[in-house]
Amino acid sequence: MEKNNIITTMNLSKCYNGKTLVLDNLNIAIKKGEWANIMGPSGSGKTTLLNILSCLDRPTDGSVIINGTEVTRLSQDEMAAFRRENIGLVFQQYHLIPYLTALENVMLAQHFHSMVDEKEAKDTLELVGLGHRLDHIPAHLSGGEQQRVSIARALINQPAIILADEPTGNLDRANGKIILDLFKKLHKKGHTIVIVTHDPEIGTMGDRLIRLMDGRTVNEKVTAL
Amino acid sequence: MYGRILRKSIKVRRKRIILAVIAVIMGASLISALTGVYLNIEEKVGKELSSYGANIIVKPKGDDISLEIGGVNYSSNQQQNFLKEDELYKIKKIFWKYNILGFSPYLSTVVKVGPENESVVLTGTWFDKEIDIPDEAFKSARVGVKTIAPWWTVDGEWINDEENKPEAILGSAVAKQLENRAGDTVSINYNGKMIELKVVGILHTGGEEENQIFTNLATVQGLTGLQGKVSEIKVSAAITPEDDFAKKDITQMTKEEYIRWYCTPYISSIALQIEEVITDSDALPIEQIASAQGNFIKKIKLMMMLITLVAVAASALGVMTAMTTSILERRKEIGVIKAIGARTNQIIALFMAEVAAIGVIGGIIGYGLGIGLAQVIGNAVFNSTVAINVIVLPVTIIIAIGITMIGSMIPIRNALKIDPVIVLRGE
Ligand SMILES: Nc1ncnc2c1ncn2[C@@H]1O[C@H](COP(=O)(O)OP(=O)(O)OP(=O)(O)O)[C@@H](O)[C@H]1O
Ligand SMILES: [Mg+2]
Repeated sequence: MEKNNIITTMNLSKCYNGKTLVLDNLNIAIKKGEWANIMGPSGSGKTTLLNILSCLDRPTDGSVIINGTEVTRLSQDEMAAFRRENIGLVFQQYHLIPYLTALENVMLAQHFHSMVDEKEAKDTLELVGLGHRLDHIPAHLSGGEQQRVSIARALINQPAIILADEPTGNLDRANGKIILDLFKKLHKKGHTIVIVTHDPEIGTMGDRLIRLMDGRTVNEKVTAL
Repeated sequence: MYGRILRKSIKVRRKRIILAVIAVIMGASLISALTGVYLNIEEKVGKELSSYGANIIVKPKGDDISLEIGGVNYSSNQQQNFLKEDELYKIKKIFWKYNILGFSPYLSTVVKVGPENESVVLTGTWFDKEIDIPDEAFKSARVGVKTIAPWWTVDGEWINDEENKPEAILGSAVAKQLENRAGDTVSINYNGKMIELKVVGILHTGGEEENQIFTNLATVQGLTGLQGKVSEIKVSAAITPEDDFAKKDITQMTKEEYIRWYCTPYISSIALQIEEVITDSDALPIEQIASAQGNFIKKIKLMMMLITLVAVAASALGVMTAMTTSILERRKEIGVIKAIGARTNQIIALFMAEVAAIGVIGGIIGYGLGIGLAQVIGNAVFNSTVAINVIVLPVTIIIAIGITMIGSMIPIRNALKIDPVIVLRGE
């Protein structure tokens, strides 16, 4: 195991109901600061993999080491704590709290992490270009804007890793580009980024592309170094 | 932040919350009403039951009660003792004077009536009389059989205590035997001394009094030559049920205990206070009524507790339904909160604050409605208002919070079990 790997999976398998093998003996290593894209046909297990890397789900077999911690051994609450400290999540459906404003949605993550800091939350929204939309509730924001709020929420506690499941899946090109530019910015700042995507254009962007097929990796390509 | 989340989450789900609050209000109002009545029940039922009869009987000292039949003493000891009529008012001057709901003096003798010279008990008493009580704020008191036996009914007229006319009320059994009706006269033969009494009414009591003839106390005193004397007094007093302390031997009590006993309206302490003011008297509790009263209060209290329990359960069930629906609607939100790293106790705290808010609001409104309900119950059942003890408010709020917590326990546990992986999977 290499020292500068921030995410390592060893013989990772996930099986539903004891028969549907969704992830089959995966060995993946992602370096610190790397941008990895995961692609593959629908049902190939991308979301399942990402959920395990997010410490939201547990594998049936194998181990996952993130930032030096064997996360599969953690209890439910320890997993939540680990997630708070290390991981920022971005979802295709944004998943913002509908009755809270953009600012409050970001502050909510601060609240569960440690303490709320309104200034910091505002600055982060500023960073994603939403300084003028602080008091809007999600229903009064466009899809692209909502996704930017959710990125701000993922960023607010300065996680080393950002995991995104089809972050541009619900967005048009223009908005998708804004989101990707944000990821580029974060990548430059040193965040490790893992993005699940169907978009071949994104596939060409990161440092590498992991192709999943029926729960296995196929001819992995390194797109850049 | 916390307050903000709470306010907004309550605002957005106010319909559910209102439902939960209504469930709590229903339980809490019943609880506060019943608690209010519960704390008053001893006094109320005491008064109510006491109004169903005398519970203390006052006799001359040394009177042999065992040989008494129908109010007339048949003991061989012909030297019968009497109580003094002019001391009667003192019964309304004892320490517990406000608990004396009424009393009536009696003087009974056996007389012969009718063509067949039947032996019948003639009883002189007061019917409905206002007597002066010197040196008391209330100045006067209403006494007489009507105050201690309100269920007695008379076909015809009652005897007027003030007019002192030669009138009689016949017990219904006597009237039947003599074939007498209101308006007739009845001839009374007392040891050869004859008087004529006009029958003004026929008495129905459901008891032995239906075998007697009633007239003015003064009439019997005149007939028997026992002016100013009475043979017994029946007293109706509002009492508190005897507890273990009341059963203690008063001769073994410390001074403090004695004072406490004396200053509690036990039937025994009231009886003692009556003995203290009526010369040469024995005041005896009529045990049956006293213990029946205590038992009755116990049973009512038990029943009220059961009703309260049912109310609590029903109300908790209502809260549970509202909270379950509310949490079902928030599944996704709870999933998100968990995904972004909320701790279990933070999630519990979020719900608990809501639970407390529902409990407190429901409790306060329920208390308000409960006071009203208590008055309705008081008026309908006891014909009087129910004094509301301040303790009812905190009790109601605490129970209301308890109800909400019990009702929320299962829904909150279900919320904690929500798996973000499942609820966040897109649709
Ligand atoms: N809770 C579950 N129980 C049983 N099977 C499941 C469960 N969750 C996912 N699966 C199955 O696992 C397989 C992989 O699902 P997953 O969501 O990881 O696919 P995916 O690659 O993300 O697909 P998509 O591109 O459509 O999002 C699918 O066949 C799915 O039906
Ligand atoms: Mg997926």
